[in-house]
Amino acid sequence: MSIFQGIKNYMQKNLLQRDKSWKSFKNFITGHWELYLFLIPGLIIMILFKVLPISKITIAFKQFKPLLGLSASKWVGLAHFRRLFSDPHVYRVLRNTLVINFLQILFVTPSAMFLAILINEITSTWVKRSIQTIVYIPHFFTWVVVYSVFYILFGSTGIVNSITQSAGLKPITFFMRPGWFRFLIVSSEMWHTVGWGTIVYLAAITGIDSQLYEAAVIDGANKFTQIMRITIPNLMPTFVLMVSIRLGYIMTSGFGQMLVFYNPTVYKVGDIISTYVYRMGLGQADFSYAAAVGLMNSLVGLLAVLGANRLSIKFTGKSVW
Amino acid sequence: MKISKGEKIFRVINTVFLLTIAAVSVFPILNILARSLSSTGGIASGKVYITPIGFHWGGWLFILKRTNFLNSFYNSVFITIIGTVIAIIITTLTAYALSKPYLKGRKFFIFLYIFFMVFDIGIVPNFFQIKAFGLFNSIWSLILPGLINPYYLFVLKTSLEQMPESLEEAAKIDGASYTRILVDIVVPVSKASIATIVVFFSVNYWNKYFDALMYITDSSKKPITLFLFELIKLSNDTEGLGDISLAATISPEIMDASAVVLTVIPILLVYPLMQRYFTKGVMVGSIKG
Repeated sequence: MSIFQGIKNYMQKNLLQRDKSWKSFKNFITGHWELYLFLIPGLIIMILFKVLPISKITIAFKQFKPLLGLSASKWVGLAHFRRLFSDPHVYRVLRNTLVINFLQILFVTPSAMFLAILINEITSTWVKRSIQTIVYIPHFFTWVVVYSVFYILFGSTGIVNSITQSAGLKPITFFMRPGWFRFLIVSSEMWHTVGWGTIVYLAAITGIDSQLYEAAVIDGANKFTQIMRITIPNLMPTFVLMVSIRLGYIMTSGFGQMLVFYNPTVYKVGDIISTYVYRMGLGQADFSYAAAVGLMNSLVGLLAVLGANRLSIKFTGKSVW
Repeated sequence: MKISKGEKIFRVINTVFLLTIAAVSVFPILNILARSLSSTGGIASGKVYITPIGFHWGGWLFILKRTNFLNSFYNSVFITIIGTVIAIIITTLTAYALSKPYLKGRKFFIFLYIFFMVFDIGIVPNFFQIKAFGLFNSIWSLILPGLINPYYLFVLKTSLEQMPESLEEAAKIDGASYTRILVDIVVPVSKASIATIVVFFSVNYWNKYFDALMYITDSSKKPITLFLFELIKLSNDTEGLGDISLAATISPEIMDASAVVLTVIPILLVYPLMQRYFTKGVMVGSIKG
């Protein structure tokens, strides 16, 4: 077969194939055009509110002047990003973001698992239901309500301070002391999400093979041994998955909570990246710099999600999404 | 089955422990309810736990009549109902199309939604986009961006995928269009799953506060979350509190507590209705997006 013949064959085959696949695609569309129609409204919303805002990121590379508007403002290249690396606040907010997430992952995430295990051991359906009903409720409150509740409870005239005072102690300014403030952040997260977090584990527990427990009982294992040797090991994949999800959102989580909880007296421990971006941008109108910090945060956040997903696939074989 | 003594003790301790946790969980709500219905003197005594001292409705009436509460409440109701209805329509349409494994380009669309589930460009670009659309200070700035939520979309998509294809077969043979099948078969069969995301969307809309903080400055357009935020966070700021001389007769503590209670009551009222559905959604969502 000559080279010429080969080329001819190749072209014929490929063009034909392309023609065929185009035809089959056209056929598919004519048969299923409604499905594409169904996709349009969602895509419009995505394009308008997720894709188009990306074009506004040019602000991070310009010196935005409100009077000039975004398009007429001067390009400054990477100036804002250089400033970011020499801004001492950035290190502070980065450290706070990591510390607060670490504390919450340490205390809140395992608590949901243990609470689920204990709830599962309740034999009376009625008691079990009631406990579940109650502990799920705070999840439905916005952070504004959660803050208000804590503010009222732990405020200067709140019930906690009346108790400490009647015990002869001085009133504690919970919202102004760094240590206490961290305690409030972790405990409010606990109140808000632990109950809700049990649902996933309760579902996972029902999936554990009951024969394992039966065999353990025959071997004389008591409840404690059963929990330690069967329940917890079987819940580990779910636990790792939950920690991975939590790690993935490390750069963005906590914003809604912190923005209501913190105040200038606790910026030292409470100011996190997202609140800093918000304050610089919308508070001090330093839009360009805030956008640059925000962009870095989004990119690192994206890496965190991808990394967390890797972690989850490695340890549980399950993708986060 | 015989229960050992140790196991009996464990059960008792466990039940007591969990009931304590439940009590601790619910105590803050009861305490604030009691405070909202107490007198200024009662609160000052520091002995209000779960029953009001010097019972009166003053705080509630003040919040309802003398502040922007009701107006904000209507705004929130509007945002929640309109937002949820449109969101459910869009989400159902999208989830149904994406649930068809043979849809060409399906992987691309799913990737798109996953990507924007984990990536957000940041608040500054979003803010400028909303301004560019002329949505600043419009209640629609609180509705439109939330119409698609990838997480809820995948919850619904997953449950639609589990629906047996045979349900649709017969209708297809009779020549029914996808629209017909969706309206007459898929939606009625998936009522429970749709109800789950109705719960998610409506809670999401009702609780939204940050968007309002950024996009709404006109006090007549603020949702209830922003009203509460400003009342509690900016207690020194008397704007929006109306007549200050009247405010003097009711202590700020009672006002704060009353506002919290009135904000929370609607959620607690629909909570029993919602509870039937949400657990299912959480499980579906956690199994696979």
